[in-house]
Amino acid sequence: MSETRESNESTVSSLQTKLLLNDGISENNKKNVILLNQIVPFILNTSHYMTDLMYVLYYLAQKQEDEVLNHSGTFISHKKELLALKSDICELIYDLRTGFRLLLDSCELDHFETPGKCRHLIEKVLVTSIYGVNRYIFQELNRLNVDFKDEFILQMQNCLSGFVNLYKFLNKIPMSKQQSQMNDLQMKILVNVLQNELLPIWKFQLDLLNCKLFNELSKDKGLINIYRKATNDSVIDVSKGEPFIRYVNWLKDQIIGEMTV
Amino acid sequence: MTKKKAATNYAERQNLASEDSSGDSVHFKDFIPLQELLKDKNYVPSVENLEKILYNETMFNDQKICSNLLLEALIITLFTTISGKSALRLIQTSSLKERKSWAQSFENNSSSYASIVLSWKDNDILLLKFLRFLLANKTAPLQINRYNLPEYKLPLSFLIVSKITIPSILLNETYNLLKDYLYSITGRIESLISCSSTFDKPALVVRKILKDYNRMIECRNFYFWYSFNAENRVNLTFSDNISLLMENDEGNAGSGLDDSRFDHQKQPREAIMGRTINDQEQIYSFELNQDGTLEIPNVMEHSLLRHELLFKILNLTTVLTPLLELQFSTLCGLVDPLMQPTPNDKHIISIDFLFQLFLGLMSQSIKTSQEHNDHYDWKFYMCFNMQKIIDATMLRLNCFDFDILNSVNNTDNAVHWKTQLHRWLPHGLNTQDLELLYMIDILAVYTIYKLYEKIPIQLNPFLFSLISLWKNLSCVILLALEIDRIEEENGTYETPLMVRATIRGAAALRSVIATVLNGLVKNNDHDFKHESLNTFMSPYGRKLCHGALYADLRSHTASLLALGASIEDVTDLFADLQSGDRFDEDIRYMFDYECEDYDESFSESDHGGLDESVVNPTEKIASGSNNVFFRRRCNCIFNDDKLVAEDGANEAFGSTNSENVEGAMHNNRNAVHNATTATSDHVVTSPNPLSVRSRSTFEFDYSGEDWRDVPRDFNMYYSPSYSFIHEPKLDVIFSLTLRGATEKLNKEESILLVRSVASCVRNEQDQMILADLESNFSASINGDVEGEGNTKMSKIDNEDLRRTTPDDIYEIWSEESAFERMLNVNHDVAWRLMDEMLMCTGYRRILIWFLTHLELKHSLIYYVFELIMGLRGKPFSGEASDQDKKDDMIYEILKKKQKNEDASGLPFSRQGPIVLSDIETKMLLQEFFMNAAIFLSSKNNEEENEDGEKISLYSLGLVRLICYMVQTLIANDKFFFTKSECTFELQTLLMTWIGILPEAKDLFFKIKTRLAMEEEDSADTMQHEGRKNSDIEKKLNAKPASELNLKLLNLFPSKPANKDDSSPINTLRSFIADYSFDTQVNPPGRRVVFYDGKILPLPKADKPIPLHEYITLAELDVGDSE
Repeated sequence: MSETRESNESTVSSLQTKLLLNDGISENNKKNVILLNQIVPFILNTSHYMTDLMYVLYYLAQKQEDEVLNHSGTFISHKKELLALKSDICELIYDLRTGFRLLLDSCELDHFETPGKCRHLIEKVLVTSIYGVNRYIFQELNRLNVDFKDEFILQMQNCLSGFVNLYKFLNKIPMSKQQSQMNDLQMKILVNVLQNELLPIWKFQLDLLNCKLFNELSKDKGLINIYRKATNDSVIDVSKGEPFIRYVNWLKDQIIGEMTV
Repeated sequence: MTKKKAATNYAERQNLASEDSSGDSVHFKDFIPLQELLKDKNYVPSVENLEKILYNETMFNDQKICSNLLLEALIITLFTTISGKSALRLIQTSSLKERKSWAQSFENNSSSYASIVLSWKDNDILLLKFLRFLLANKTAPLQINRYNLPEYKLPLSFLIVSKITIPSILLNETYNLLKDYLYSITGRIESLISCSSTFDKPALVVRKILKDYNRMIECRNFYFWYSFNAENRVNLTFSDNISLLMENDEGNAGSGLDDSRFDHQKQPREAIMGRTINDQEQIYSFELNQDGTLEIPNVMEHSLLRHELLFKILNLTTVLTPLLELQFSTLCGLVDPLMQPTPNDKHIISIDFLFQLFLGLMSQSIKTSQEHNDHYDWKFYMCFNMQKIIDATMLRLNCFDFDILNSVNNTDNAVHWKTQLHRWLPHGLNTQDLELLYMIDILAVYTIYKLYEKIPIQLNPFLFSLISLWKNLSCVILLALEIDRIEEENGTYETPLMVRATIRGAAALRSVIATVLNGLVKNNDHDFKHESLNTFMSPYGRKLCHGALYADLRSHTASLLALGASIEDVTDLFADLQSGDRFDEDIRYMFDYECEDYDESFSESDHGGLDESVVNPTEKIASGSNNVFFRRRCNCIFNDDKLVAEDGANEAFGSTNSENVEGAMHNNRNAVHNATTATSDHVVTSPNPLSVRSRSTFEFDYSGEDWRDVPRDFNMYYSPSYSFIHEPKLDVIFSLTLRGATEKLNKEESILLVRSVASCVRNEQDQMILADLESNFSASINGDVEGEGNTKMSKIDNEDLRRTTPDDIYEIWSEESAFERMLNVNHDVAWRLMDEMLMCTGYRRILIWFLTHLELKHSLIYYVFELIMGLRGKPFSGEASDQDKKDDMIYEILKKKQKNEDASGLPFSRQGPIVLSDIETKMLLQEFFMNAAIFLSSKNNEEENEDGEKISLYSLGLVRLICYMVQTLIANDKFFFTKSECTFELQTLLMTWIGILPEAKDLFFKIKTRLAMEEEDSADTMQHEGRKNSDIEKKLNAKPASELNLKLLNLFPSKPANKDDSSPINTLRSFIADYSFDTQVNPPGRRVVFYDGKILPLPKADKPIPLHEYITLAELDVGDSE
């Protein structure tokens, strides 16, 4: 589980190190950096969250029959819809990361407008899209009636609630107004709430979802068969050890391959 | 011999002329304006035309014209021209002694001079010529002292009747012709303009003349100074008349004098009169003036009349001093809301703003006074007049004598309070005038402070009066509060309106005085500069000022003694003086209906910020519901302001289903109402609706406190292995709860009940977080077949959510004490239900209050203990490290079951142990200890009644259990010793059991010891800081402080009258030797975090509509009706 996060973690660490190296800036500008230090992890965790949604969509797509007849008499392809959603999410992730990179390149990190601009990368449309994808996933999980759907749906709901709650909380923080409206005490308590409570526990929920998802993926015989045909890997058990790592990497290539991270 | 006789005759004639005023009275009665007398010549009143007539000496032959011309010329010339004012000033400032000396000087002059002086007597022709001379120089001041020089005397040669003596008089440089003439004519002028009242006929004539000649403005900036010399009786009368005229004219600034007021007996008529014939028909009639114009009531004019009447009612005319009437009328004009402009974007009509205006309006008069008295201390005299005004208003308001006030006893059962009102309430005033008087005093006190703000308040010359005034006001407030309390206890609520008005005005004035005496005016600048005076009059309009005294009054006492007050007077002054009172809290409660009008939430009204350690769940919930920040017209930030959410946050929330929101709010309000009913009556009577779910601000204040009422940490997240019920049924919860209150539930029933409640809370949480997203999403796929299905399902869900909400559950619990009864039969189920309900946003503090007010029992003590220790809910394994948390959760989500199943067999629906915030923990312990003390006290009384001295064994066991709980909390660092928290409540609980229970005794003294240790630590810290501050002060303020202290020490009485006095005087002497006048008072309550002098524009809703827009709207309305 932790291996899948390794590259992203290093990105976050290097960025935070970069932020902390800014010395000699004014007190008000330090507030901007401190705020930015909380928004950046939120954006990166959101990116991870969307990636997890892609994994879920891919998994559900593999569980579908090609076409089914619904009650209105027309043929629909759940698989195609799920894969289309996955592509949409992939595009949104690309836009988010590209926008984030451009923003960091063009803005002064200690400028008072930077936190607001950074926060604006995640806007209502994105939140609504993520919510819609979740609802669709819930429907499909219920329809497929997989044996782990109950706990999986609850954990997905945890991730969604945490995301929306954080989004609303961050939007309440005054950033573009006069800095004197938020004093050091309030800054301290807000940073403490974000840093020690909201952000890490939400990340914990994402990790838990990721762990559950890949645990199920490693036990899905259909996917394993596809993997073996594609790679000629003859190892019987891919649920742990080196075979698991190879299997997960293959899955990631299948799911995310085209996207430049 | 002949010379002496002539002088004597002159003096006698002078006296006769001065005393003879009856003829002049007749003269005024017969006054006819020149405009009428010279109608055939088309005379138009003006200074230029007046001057022309004076050069036409043929007019002087007509006696009638001559007498009226004299009066008009006299008024216009003396009062409205610079030269005339110079002449009048000499007359005004000359003393009787000077005149006597002048009369004596005739002995040294030749008889020809005496004859000339005699020839001036009663010669109005010469006076007219002299007035002509003054008019010719109307724009230049007379340099009277130079009229001994020939070139100056030449234009006045007309005064020398004898042509033979002209050369000698003109060339004699030791003889001042003008001064002689002015001295000789003084009596005549006095008699001509004599008047005793501003409403006398002569005064009206004078004002009419000024108006006709359009010389009101030239007359306005005019004043005479006079001295306090007792010998100056004649002059005093003269100046009295002039002052009366002039100051009254100042009061009439900007207003015209109508013909209808020329006759003072004529009553002002109502311009518009309405007569009702029957209920359905009404006739309006108008009375037009002769020229066809309609006379509309003039609010300004009526206000001026009221101010003039107030001046008379206050009897200030009997103690008239320079500028007094002008000061009073200016104060009235500034503070009277009827005479203030409408609000505007640029200024706030605050106390400080009015003070600046007042000083500006008075500045010219002050300069004029200074020109005539080199030693004139304008600040002292202005404050002296202010003190006179204050004393007069207090006398009229009937709260001047402390002994009388102190002797009134409203709580005496033998005497009803209504029979005592006349002793301390004003007579003959309406509430409008009463409040006006208090406003005048507020500005007066502020002025007294401001003019001496560069020196410590202890050295203010009016310190004694300020303290005395504060003391009287406190007594009045106490009397009024007693009445209100009596009426509330009786349920009659018949506090007289005059009592309420008195308490409102007195409290406002008292807060200004207290702020001055505490030395906190600069700290509370917001109230004096950013709140209008009208707002300041409300207990909620004052954001920072308190009426209580917190300063160390020893400094004030020592200063008063050093500056000459007697020990007896000072002792009397400080007797019955109570510092640190809490009258403001009661006053705010009394006027709680005003709290929203002045940008305050109701919770502030109950505590006023004075007792921050008290946490009341309902009020604190309400306090988060107001966006107070945006309603102030300044950028000031207080420490209890909530951080304002970003404007863009609205986008994040969107608009939730209004029907659902209304339903939720309605239910929630009922629940809160149920909770508050049990707390206190005054909360129930509050008209302010409580809404805990419509918060749009952060629940963080500027002290850094986190007031969020939400599940914390992992508790926000659902346990993955939990089985929620999709649509929990209210009837299931209802029936199982009631059955659980009477009989034991089996395992399946218990689990079903707990799951139902947990599911209700879960559904509401999802609704709160995701509802706005759901409505948007549903709308976007409205046309889809599956979308329709989803929408239908959403509607069903919403219906269920409205029917089964945590509010419903709480209502079931409260009804007939169902929850409490369930505790007796199914305590495991009950406490798990409480765990689940604590996950409800906006309900946690209500539930904490609820559970701490349950009857004390073993399971309650244990629940509180577990809650604080973090043992409720689903504790993580081991030491709850990050790895432990990870292992537990991975196990649960992969194995579909919890690693550590709860002993009760009832799973918890959330992740992790239940986490309380610091505020919640504090509140829980405080309420628990307080209510435990109450319960145990009443329990013990019951036992004593039944068994005499026997102690309840049950109570003994409970107290022992509480002691064990506290000991364990201390050992686990869950209970901290700071005075702001619940230590006081715990000590109160333990005190009664010290002699009975060893555990209680040990715990009590352990706490006491720890508190003492902490006090020593804090004392050391303060002492260290004190030394630092002392060093800094010595470096920066060594000279000024030491000089003040040395001066005061030298002024101290060195020989006490008797031994009894020596001890306190010596104490105060040593006190003042060490005391620093820079000592800062730290009052309780709200503090300013950020101050900015900028004034923001009016909110859009408060802007007055411009007249042209109003007319346009009216025309549109007329058009629509057509």
